[in-house]
Amino acid sequence: MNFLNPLWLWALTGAALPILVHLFARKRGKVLKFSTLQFLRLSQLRTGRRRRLEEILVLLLRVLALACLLAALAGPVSRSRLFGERETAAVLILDDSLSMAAAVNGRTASVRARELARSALASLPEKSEVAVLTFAGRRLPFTRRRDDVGRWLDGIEPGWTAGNLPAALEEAFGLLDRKTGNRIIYLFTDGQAYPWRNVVRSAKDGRRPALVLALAGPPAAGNLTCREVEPVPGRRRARCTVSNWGDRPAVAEVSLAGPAWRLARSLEVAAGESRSVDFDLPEEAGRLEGGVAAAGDPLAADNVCRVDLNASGPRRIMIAGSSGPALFYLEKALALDAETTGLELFSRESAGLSATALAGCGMVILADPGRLAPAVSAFLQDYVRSGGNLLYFAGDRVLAADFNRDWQAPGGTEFLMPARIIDWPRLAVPVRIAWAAAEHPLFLPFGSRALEYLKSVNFNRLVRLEPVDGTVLMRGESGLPLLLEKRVGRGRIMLAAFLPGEDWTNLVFKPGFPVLMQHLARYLSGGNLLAVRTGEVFRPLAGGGRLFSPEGSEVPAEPAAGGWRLDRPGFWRLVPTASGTARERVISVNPDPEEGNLARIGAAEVRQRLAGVTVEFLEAEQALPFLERGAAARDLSDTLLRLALLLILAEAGLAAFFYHLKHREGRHA
Amino acid sequence: MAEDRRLLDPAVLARLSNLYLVARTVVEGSLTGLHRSLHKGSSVEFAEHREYAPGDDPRYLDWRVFGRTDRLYVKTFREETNLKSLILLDASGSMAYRGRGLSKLEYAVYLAAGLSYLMVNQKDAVGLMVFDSAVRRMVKPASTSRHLHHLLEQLQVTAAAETTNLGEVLHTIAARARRRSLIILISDLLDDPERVLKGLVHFRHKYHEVLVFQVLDPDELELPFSGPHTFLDLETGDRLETDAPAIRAEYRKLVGDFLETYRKGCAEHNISYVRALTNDPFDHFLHRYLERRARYS
Repeated sequence: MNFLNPLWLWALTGAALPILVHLFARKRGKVLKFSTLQFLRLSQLRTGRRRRLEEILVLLLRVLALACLLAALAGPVSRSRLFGERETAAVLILDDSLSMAAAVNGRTASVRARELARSALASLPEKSEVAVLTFAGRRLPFTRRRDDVGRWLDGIEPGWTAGNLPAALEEAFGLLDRKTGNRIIYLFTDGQAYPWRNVVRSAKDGRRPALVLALAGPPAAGNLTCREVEPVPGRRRARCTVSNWGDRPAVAEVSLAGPAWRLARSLEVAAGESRSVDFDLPEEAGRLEGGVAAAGDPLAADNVCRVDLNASGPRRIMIAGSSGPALFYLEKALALDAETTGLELFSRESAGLSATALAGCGMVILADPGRLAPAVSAFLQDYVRSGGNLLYFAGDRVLAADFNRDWQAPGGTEFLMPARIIDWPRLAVPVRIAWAAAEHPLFLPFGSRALEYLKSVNFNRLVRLEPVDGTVLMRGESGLPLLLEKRVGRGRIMLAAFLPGEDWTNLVFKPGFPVLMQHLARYLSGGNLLAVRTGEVFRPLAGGGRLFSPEGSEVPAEPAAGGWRLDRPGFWRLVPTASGTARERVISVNPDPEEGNLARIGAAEVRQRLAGVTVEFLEAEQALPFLERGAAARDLSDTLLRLALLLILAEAGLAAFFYHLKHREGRHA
Repeated sequence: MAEDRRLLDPAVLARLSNLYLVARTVVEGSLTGLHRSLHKGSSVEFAEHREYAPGDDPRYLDWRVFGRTDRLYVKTFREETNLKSLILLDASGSMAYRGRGLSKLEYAVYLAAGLSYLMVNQKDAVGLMVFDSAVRRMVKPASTSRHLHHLLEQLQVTAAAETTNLGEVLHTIAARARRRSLIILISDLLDDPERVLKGLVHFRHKYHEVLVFQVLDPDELELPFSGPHTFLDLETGDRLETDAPAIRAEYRKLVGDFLETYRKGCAEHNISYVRALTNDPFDHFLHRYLERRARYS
């Protein structure tokens, strides 16, 4: 039995109140001097047993009534068949993310999840309705035909994406909101923490369906992922980066393969760290496949990462703005070791930004540009929507009113920037960095010590920002947002609350500044390689074309999504339909490397993220026996309330009867 | 004297003075009074004629009857004598119980005073014994007015104390009482009935007439209290918490059985048994009792 509002269970101790009242607050009455107690004592002795029985009976009813009332407030749900087999509406959510392909003892989590799902299906009462959802968005509507559900379950295999757990949960809750009777959600997953990062739900009404989370199999020991393969510009060299997600160091064989060759090297990767290996390419290479292999690696699907070097070039970055010192420090940082970083810098006045100037630029950096001309502003907005990336340093030449107006999308309510400018506060003391989203790829070069390093940075001047719908990546003391990110169309905008100049911050003097800026530039300008994650929808910058899968078959576009969904890794080809200068492009599609992190989420965190939902968190060894017993939960609140009412009535009736009996006997005697 | 008057209310005495306390059986007395003697002999009041038999005292031959009938008859006389009474007053702790009016002890004292006054007025000797677990005070029987004052003073200072040992006390007193008397026991009799009855029978064996007034408060019969109470025993100090209405029926049954035991026991041994409730005006009660007693005697 579970409880929707378990805090009320503490109140159950209050059920002992009638007993305490009976024991301690018992009315002793007046002291009365009497001639002799012999008859009283004897009478009490003779009537005592019956009276005690009556008292116990009434007391028992009171305690039971109170206990039922308090237990009902705790929202009990039971899956025992003792409470009857009411019609049940169940939604089975199966994790079909990439990580479900991880194998332990030769069996994948996906196979185990299907077994558990079948057990749950078999345990449901006869007339139950069952719907099935997957993380990848596949769905089987409610049906009473078990055979259909069984067949549908058989067809679920791990995909190549991380899937969308929040969407699946929302849909499940939505489906069950319209159902009455017993309602339950089963979630069969490997328990990977990564898909839960965006799950935050609070069921305030306390009558949400219960959720049974069954872990499919024991946890897989560490996993290695081939994170990225990228060219080293200026040299005939490629860099392969691998991550060790495990909790112990691993010796990996890192490889790089071309059409007719393969290079390999051993590399020790510390627990929880990423390392890169540079390979000299034997020939002018086009399509490359980086790989990683290690003994006991449970997940093979994330061991390969692809890139087509012909589809990429130097990462072109346009820097514009009016702040001399800021431009100086930015150019110095980004130009440092340019041959290695592959960053190609161009500088323009803000007014000179145009479509022609930005052709082929993966990123634009604006450092305190002042007010942009409407044409430039409109062009930048289109640029971002179609896949361009913008890094905006707000300085004191940007007026709040202009900024907040200019970045409002025309004709719509969307504000394109991740935050609005409020003002420029006068700082009495320098502000330090208090928090950074350490898991964000931006801070990857700093590893787990990102925040430790960044804490030595302070700011003498800042722009006070009010986040709109952007993600805060860095905060200063007092919670001031320092760096925010937002996806706009296919591109991204990053907004910094400072200028990279010595008047504003000591960041520019830190050795990590070039590292941070170069990584930021590579992170934002990466779209130029046409490397996308599996499952993403691909919308070309301009024009259309025909898309061919890695196997060579043409893939129809998804009108609803406005592009093509690239559902599996490989080299996809976009062939222009119109003849002209446009040439065929190759899109390197790789799984999300974070999917390789098989670290599990705990029951406490799941319950915290699903506040108000009763969660039965089943470890792998508990799951099957539990499901075979039947997990269809029934809300017992109403039953308990009715029972409490009955008990109260019975108690009142019985007490009145005993009172009447007592006084009638007295009168007759 | 004022206290005596308080005890013997004039209204009470006015009623009692019209009555004569007539003993059921004749007892020996040293003074001539209103009571019939056990011995028939020369005395003031003629009783009957009896045919002469050899051995009769020739002085009692009635010559007038012989002259008319030619037969010999002797005259017999009823000797008038005084009654000797002993009032046994129970002053144990339980007698202190007070309901809505008089306490049982107060009631018993009034009763004893009334009886004493009546008997002294009739030239009968009356004595007093106050007891609880043993005899505490004793006033020897006498019939003078002075004696009455002394007796009433003793009654006046009587206060309840100690526990009861009624059966034992009765045996002790019975052993000491030599001359046949009227024994008047005024008590609540809240002791073991078997032992009490044995004590009373002891008096009967010694040819005493025994009159028992059982003084009770109506509360002791009815247990009219509502709700829970802590009852405190007046004799032992024990406490008992109980809900009176809950045990009332059983209590009344037990008390009823207890009283019935006394009633039957007394009847069996020719002992007069009268129950007095403290809410009865004691003068009314006494008047009624004596009136009834006079009728049957």
